[in-house]
Amino acid sequence: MIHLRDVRMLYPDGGGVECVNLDVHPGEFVFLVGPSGAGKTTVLKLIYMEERPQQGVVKVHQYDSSRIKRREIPYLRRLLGIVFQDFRLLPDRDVFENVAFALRVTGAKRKEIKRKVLRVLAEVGLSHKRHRMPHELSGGEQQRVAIARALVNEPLALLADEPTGNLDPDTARGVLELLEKINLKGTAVLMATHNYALVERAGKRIVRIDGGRTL
Amino acid sequence: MSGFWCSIREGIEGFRRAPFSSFVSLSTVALALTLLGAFAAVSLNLNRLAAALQQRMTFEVFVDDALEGAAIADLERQIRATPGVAKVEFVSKEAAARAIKEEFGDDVLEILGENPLPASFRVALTANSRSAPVAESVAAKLRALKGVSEVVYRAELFRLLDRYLQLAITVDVVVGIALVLGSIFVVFNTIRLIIHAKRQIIGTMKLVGATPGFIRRPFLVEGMLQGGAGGALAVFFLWVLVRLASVEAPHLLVLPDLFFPSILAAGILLGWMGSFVAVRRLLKY
Repeated sequence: MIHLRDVRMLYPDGGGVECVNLDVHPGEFVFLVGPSGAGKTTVLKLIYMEERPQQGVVKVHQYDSSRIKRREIPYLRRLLGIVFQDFRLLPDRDVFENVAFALRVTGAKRKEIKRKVLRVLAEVGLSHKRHRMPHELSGGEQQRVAIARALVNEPLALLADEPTGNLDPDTARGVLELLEKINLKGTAVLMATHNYALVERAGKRIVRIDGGRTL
Repeated sequence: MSGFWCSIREGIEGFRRAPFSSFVSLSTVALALTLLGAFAAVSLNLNRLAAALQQRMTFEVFVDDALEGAAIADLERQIRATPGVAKVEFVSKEAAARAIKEEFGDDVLEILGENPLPASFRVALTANSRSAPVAESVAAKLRALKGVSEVVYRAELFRLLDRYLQLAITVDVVVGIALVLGSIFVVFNTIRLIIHAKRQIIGTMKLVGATPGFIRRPFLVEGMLQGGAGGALAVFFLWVLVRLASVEAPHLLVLPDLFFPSILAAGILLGWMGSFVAVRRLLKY
């Protein structure tokens, strides 16, 4: 479903990745582990095509980095749910609207939006806080809202870039358990992290990256 | 709700969600259009006043005292046929004496025992003959006509008006262009800064798979609303200014019917274009 073959993408400052190979199959849970600056975020950016490879190819479902047109990128991203360390919630909308937003962009009907948002908020345990604004929530809760937003479109895969980076250990474990629960329902998860302790306990497939190369 | 109506609603919501930035944008448009509108009103009326002034600048073509009856009628025909002449009005000796009496209160007949005032023709020029050189050539042609004793007109006034009208038109055009460009620059930059502050929201929209059209529409709607509201405010300010001016000097300002609707339309257009340009930079995938 997600395939990176001999991918190189170097930034002018020397950062980026080269010789990256990675496969994520449907329903799989994969950790992308490496120290800060190893290239984890670049790999995720290549998958959701914020960046294009200078060499090699990235394939996501039917989309191929060498052939995809700019206007197709929004449709590629609807196949993926993306979660960040800094949550990236819309500060001027409540929890419900933040999650609903991902559906509105697809032109979903109001009834469908309501049904799906309430279901996914129940899944992340935040139904009771659906009218709260992001600044009224804890870090863990904000990350759950971000996960709900990533899930509401029923993506094929969820990409998480250091989703526990800003959270205390207990909250981080809670977020990881939530991602595992989501994965059990069939959504593939690719989680980039430098938290080795968390990864080892989880017992999932691990892809190591260092100096911009997958090992 | 379809994506289209959703983004329209988003645009209206954006106006409500960020009242301060909406106010800044609206005020900028209002200020720029009030300045532009006031300038346009003055320009339109300056041209009109100059044209009216030129229209009043007539020639006095004095007739030989010896000329009478049919000869005067013949001279009138020749004057009418002179290129550049628009209107000819005959002023008889008696009418000239009456005008003196009306103006000074003295009857020349009583004072002098006779009427020394010559008959004359008051000649108005066509619109494209009201410049100093053309007026001079028309005057020369009239002087050459048989039966004309003298042609009097305010040549210096023609020259002054020529010079200052040309200067006024040049200044008007330069200031007008500077004002239009300045207004576009200020309004565009204000909108650009406001939209730049929302780049995180735009980034999030892109991440969840919003198409460029979907992202752009709410900003365009918001821009048009802000521009329209700014335009409406400018219309109000200008209307007050025009009312005040008409109290001080009635009929001084005459504005075309489409003046106020144009200001409103300019506001909407400015808001739309400013938002379009500002969002376009942030929409690259």
